[in-house]
Amino acid sequence: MRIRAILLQPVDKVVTVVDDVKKGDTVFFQREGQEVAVTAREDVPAFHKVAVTALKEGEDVVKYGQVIGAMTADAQQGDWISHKNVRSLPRNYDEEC
Amino acid sequence: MNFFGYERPDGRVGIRNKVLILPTCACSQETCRIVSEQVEGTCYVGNTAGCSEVEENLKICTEMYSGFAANPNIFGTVMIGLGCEGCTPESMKEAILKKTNKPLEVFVIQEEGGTVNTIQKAVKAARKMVQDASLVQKKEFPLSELFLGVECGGSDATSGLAANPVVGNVSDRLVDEGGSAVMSETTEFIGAEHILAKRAATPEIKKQIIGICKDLEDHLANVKQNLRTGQPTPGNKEGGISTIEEKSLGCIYKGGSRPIVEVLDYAQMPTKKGALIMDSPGFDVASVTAMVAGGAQVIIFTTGRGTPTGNIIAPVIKVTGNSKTFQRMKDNIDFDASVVLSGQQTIDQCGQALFEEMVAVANGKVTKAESFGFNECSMQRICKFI
Repeated sequence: MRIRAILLQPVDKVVTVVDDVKKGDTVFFQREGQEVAVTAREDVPAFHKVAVTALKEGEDVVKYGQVIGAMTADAQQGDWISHKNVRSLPRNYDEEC
Repeated sequence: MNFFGYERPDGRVGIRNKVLILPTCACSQETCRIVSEQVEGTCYVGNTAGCSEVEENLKICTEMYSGFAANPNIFGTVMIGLGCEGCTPESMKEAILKKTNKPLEVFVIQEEGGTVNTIQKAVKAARKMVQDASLVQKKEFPLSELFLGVECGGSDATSGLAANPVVGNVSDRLVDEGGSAVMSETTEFIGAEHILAKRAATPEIKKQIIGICKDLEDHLANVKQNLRTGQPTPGNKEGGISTIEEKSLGCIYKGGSRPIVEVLDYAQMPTKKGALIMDSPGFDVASVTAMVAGGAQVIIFTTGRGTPTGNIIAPVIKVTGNSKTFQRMKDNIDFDASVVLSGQQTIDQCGQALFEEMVAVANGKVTKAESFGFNECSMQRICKFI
């Protein structure tokens, strides 16, 4: 199956799939006018995230062009990215002021 | 575009025309309920606090319940107190009169000599007030008289991709018409506060936006709690939201893109018009009630998982970006924004349609939550009862 996904910003490392994905499905999305496809390495529920690039433990996860957390384990392109392998990061409010 | 509303003596304009039966504290809320049940055209809000509170909690209670009375959807208020509560009938009356000159009657259970006497007098006053309210004719007003509150609850990953951007589009449209739109839920700024802060109209407002996020995290740290254990909620995670940063980055879309002209305390009435921020918790019910206390006549509420909650003073319009949720919970959700995700409509097209729906509701169209008479009410508190 081919499942459409949404890449919000070109720099994002994850896409949001618009339907349930089965392992081996092709997840396709647009990046700067070009269609890109990755193969899902596991089942992913609708509206969850799939890695479009390999991610190392501790690496920033980028969605909306922003950091949404850091990886707690390594992941491959096509892996399901969720609360099970991403953690929130503390803020530095004093620096922002 | 104009709408038809009810002009109030304080100059504000209501989109509903109800009489409010208002308890000052938990001990008078049941009496208020009985009075309201006896008089068609009234509504009442519960109050589970109002006594045995630290000063800061009493302040919140006074701000919130006086705000309900001042909300322009309310024609007038019958307030019932007990007589010995911390949130005294005198202080509540004073707070209401500072905000509005609309009709107000006050009864105190201990002074009236019990429940039956109080109910008898309050029912008579409420019936008279409902009759007076029925004489107010709707008039045409510009959209600049509208004050919208935007909210999200039971979010999933579609909220940030479809429903919230569409609501943000509505917020911008209303601000461009000269109206106001308030976004609350400080919890759901965290991780996106640096982006929200860029919308601040002044450097002072920028500091306030960052400041309320820091204060919330510090507050929780003081009682040895971590916001990240409760946020995102289990339902958010199941819906594809992994961290508070991801949740917030999706949430702040609903506040639109216009300059933020004022940061309000919890339940506070604004002094400026335009795009506003209110410091409230991520608990949706406690946020909606605070924005209504601040004067919002209408709420647009996005949900991905689906939620039924409403408000008795202001109509709540439910919006989802999840087509499955819309099909599954049609009796709770008013507007389907999933057409943005399927590519059938742009955010701007869907925003135009939702804007028109909001004006229809302002003109009197009954929302799903309204049709059930939902009356959720919850109040922010600083600490334990004392």
